[in-house]
Amino acid sequence: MTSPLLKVEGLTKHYAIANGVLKRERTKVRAVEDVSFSVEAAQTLCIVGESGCGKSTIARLLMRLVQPTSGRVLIDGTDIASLNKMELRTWRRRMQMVFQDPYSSLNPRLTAQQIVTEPVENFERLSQRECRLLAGDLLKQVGLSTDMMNRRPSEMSGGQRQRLGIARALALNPSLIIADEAVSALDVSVQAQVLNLLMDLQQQMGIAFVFISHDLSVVEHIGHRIAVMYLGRIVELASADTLFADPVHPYSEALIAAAPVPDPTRARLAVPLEGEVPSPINPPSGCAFHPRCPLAVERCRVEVPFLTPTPDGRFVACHVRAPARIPKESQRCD
Amino acid sequence: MALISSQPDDLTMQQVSSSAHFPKVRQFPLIAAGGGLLALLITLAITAPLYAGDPMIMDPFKRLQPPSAQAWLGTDYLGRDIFARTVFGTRISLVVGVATTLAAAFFGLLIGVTAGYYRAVDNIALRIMDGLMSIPTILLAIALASLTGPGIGILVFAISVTKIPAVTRLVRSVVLSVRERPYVEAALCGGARMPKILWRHVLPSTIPVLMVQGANVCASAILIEAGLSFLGVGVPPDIASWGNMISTGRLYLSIAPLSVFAPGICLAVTVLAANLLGDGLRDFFDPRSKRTS
Repeated sequence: MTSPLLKVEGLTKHYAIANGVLKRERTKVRAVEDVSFSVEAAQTLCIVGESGCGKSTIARLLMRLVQPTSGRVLIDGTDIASLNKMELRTWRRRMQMVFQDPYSSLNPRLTAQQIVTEPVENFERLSQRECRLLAGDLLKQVGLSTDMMNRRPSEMSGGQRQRLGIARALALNPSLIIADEAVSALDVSVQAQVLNLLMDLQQQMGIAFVFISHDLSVVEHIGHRIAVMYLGRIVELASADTLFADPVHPYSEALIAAAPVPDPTRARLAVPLEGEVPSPINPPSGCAFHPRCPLAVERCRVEVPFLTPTPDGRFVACHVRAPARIPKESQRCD
Repeated sequence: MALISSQPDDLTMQQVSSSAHFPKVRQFPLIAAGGGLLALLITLAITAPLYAGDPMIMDPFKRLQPPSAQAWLGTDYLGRDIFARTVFGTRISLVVGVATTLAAAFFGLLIGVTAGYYRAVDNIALRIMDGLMSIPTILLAIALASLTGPGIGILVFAISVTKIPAVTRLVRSVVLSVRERPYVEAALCGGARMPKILWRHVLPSTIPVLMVQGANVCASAILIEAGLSFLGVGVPPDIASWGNMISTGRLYLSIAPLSVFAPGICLAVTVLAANLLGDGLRDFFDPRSKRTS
């Protein structure tokens, strides 16, 4: 069995915040807690969850824009945390990021051509002509006309800017693109165009995506596999079809039931969740979801559930719906 | 840049895209007034030998004379031409103003960017800046002048040392806000090296504050130079400087008032020009501040 393109093992990120009068008391924000998953080439893994559940932190950890507290991120079997600065620069060529906000992620002072060719120019010298050709190719790939070459981001629409951001990510021919809420700043019609563009690129170039979103309809459209996150942990990891047809974890169930369905004749069945997402500074004991969970039992209050494989090939972290049969130490997803 | 101003919806775009594009300079009379005045003064200072006499020649027989065809503004207590001395005094003021501005901007930028980008340096650099800020310019200049004797170099050094902290703090604050922008992270993801990130993505954002602060530093350096020359610790007394002209002229104020008023008015006009330019640049780079005022 070949190793997957991207493998994440026990990824954890705690942010320390100082408070109190003398800044002596240190508390931890548990942004990401023991997250493991893998992504195969030309596949799309979607990560969904409410805001504040650690989705964007995962994106930043994958790009190593922030250092993980513990855990490993393996690209083709190489741990990116073990690389020094120069090695990291070369490894970053293999994975690129598309940012959430197409306004602030493009330098307003540069032209479209400068923006898309910059990554390549970081690694090799290009003549003026090569720059124009490369920029033209990249712009065409994302469906922008080459007339845009000398425009600045402020002279483009939101959708055009996001396409420009995608073109920049494509410039280095990455095998993995991390898209952090890449379409949530766009109108629905433009969202669809950009999503289709991403799917086309995946088919043509075999790029794998880690697609982070809070929007279930987007995720259903684009994802092969879906990881549902709650308060820094993955609670369910399943293929898109099985998850949407039959969510197992009570949180996934509630999330999918709460998503609006554009069909007025379909009645809402599920009872909406009560309460708020707890603070990651002081998460509930045991299963973080237990205070809001309709199925919670005593065990959920004391014991953290780990992702457990179920017979139909998914992973669920729930004591009630997918009770672990094996002793819990050995079944962590390593 | 030629594309920009012809776009009709440019103004609305500007507000969205922060400081990418700027409106036309022409719309800002303060810049035109301040810049024009300064340009005029610089031209006059450079071409001084073409139309003004020698500011150093003393003539005891023609002391404290009223304006005449030879000496347009009369002569001072040593018989020197007040017009020539005023015109040549412009050189000292402008040289000190510009040199101080350049030195303060250069070192302020260097330290500010380093402190803003490399967090480890930040605390140390800022404490040193706090220390420099607490040094009174005049005392430092007097101390240095008493060590080496008065001179322009000492003046520029003393004034710029005490102006660097203000520039540093401004630059640092801009760098701190820019380094967190997603486009800087995007550049990092694209494999950009640190010097390139600083040069291409961080430094351009500091230019507006540098220019505005530079104009203010220039104005106050000119004033401080005049003050120090007035006290006798600025440029050597034989070299014409507005400060030492006022200082010696005030003793003969009732006989030859122009020996005080000529350099005084020039000083006021120059400082005003630099301040106008600074205010104009501020409005230019930050359109909001103009609209609210």
